[in-house]
Amino acid sequence: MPHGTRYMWDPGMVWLHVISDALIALAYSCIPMALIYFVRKRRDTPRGWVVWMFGAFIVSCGMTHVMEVWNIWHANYLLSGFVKAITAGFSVATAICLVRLIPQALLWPSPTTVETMNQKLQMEAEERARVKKELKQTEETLRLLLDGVKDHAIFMLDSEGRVVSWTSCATRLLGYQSNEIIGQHVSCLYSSADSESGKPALELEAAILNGRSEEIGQRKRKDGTLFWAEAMESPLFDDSGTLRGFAKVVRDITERKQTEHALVLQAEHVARASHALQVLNDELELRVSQRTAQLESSNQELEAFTYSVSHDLRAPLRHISGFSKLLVEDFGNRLEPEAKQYLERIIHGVRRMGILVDELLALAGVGRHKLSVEYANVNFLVNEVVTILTPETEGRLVEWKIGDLGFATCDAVLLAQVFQNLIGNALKFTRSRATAVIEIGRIEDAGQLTFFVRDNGVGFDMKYADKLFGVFQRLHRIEDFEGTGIGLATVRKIVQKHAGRTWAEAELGKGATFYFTMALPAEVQAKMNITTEEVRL
Amino acid sequence: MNPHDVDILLVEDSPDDADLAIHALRKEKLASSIFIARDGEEALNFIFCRGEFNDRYFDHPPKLILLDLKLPKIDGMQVLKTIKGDPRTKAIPVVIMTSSKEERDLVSGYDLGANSFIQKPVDFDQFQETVKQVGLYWMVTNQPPVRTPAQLGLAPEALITT
Repeated sequence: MPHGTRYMWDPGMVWLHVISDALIALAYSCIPMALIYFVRKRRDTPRGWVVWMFGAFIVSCGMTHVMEVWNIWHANYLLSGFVKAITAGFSVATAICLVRLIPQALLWPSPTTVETMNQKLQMEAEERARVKKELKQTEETLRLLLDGVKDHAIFMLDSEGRVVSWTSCATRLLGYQSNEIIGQHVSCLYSSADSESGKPALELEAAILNGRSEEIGQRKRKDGTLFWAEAMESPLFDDSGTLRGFAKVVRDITERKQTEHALVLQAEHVARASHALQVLNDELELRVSQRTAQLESSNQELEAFTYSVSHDLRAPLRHISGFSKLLVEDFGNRLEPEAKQYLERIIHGVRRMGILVDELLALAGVGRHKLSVEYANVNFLVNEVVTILTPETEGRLVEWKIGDLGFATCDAVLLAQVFQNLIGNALKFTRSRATAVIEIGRIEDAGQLTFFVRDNGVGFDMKYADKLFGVFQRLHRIEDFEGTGIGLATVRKIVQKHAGRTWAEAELGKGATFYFTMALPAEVQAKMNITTEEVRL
Repeated sequence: MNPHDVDILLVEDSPDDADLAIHALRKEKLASSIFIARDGEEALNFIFCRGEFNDRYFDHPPKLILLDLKLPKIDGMQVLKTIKGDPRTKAIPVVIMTSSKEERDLVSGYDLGANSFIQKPVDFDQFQETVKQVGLYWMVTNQPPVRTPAQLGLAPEALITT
């Protein structure tokens, strides 16, 4: 009996059941559609088979309601029972699955949690952006810094020595762009000889071993030109101590090398110059010593000459004189008076020549005389000279005015000779005076010591004053005053040896004064080393 | 001139100087026994009785030697040195008579033992006077040293045989 029968075919009752069961069945069949759609859209949906179970459970539920509608008009209760049994099976299986799924389902984030997580994620993203910006700024700073570096190339190598990072300063110094050099081995920056000899690898090894490697050597640019560089490598290790690569700095020291080279050249130049100077000096010394030797030899010749003059010239004079005398002595009574007179003249001439030779030798002797400087009592010297000259004052009136002459730093023998010449002259040229007045004095003016010998003799014309001290210069006739013209030359020579000077003042017929200076105090003379000096004529 | 009995040995290479000296000495009667040696070698041979004088005896040395310095063969200084360096002859008075008055000659002359050093004056009167004084002093005034056999170079036996 169909259900409709039990509802008494009451149309209200029948349609109430039919419409309700139909709507339930429709809804039940729609749910699996939606689930299928969801599962297909959300691939990440966990446990897909649970959905299928759930779908099958819902569809079978829908089918039971379809069967309810069918049984209103048909009483197919067996089929309805089977459908119900299938539904029960799916329901139980789904229920079991759900129970087992519950602990896992509890772990699924709730929408609130997801919201929180989302906020967190948002913040993290913002943080990341900020860090990224900062990093960019740091990078920019670093880039600017590296751009600003001059004469240095800074770059990095991997642990095998291949270039892994490159900087603009490296480009500037070495010529390679990053894309050209990255991945290349560092040995391409060495000279061919260095890279063939394995130097790049050795330096990397040294850097690992010592923590750092420094070297001055030649490096090669992209265009193949070599330059002098100071290179430094530092190995880079990570936290685990594994070698990650090397930081490398190459510095262009061309300028320094050039300066060094210039310095070396300069030093060489100086050395060459000083060598040349030394050679020149040696040459000069050689020449000086040669000249000295020549001078010494010519001095010796001169000495030999004066010795010869002394000996050989005097001997024939002596013979002429001697035999003339013997002629007069032995044969005088047989000679005409005129012949005897001629012989006398010969004898006189020879005597004069003898004196001349002796005085010339004395003058030469002054030149050769070694100064033996002492602090001499000049009054003592002058008194001795006056005593020596006493024979010449015989039968004459001589008034001596000898002042306080003090002491002088001089060669006493030579100074005595000066006084002897000057006083001798004074005596000679006062011969015509009734009373000869001879004054010997000393003037000290501003440290300059001057001696003078003054007489009231015949004097001389001042216009000839400059001739006075020359050799063989005479201002008087030989028959008036004898003399050789060598005496005052000897005086001047002696005074010059004492760094002094000579001069004279006179008036014709009134007398003459002869001055000479003894220029130097003892210490200055010692400085001049006069005692060891040997001045020759 | 007998070379065995000589009072004055005049060592002089210039015959002119020798004649003038003899002339001066003759005036003082000192020229009777003068021997003139014309160079240093002859002088030494004479003094040491050798060569052409090997028949001379050491026991008759000259009383005075007048020695010029500039001489042929052996110069005056060497002659002086030899005479004064030998014990047999060093007592003989040697008077250097030279034309020069070189200081170095003076110094070395006296160093070697010269008894006197005289520069011959150019003027003959002075020369005559000088020679006269030298001759008189050394030949008359001066007392010659007493000669010992050793000084004469004779061994005592030799002395007996003579």
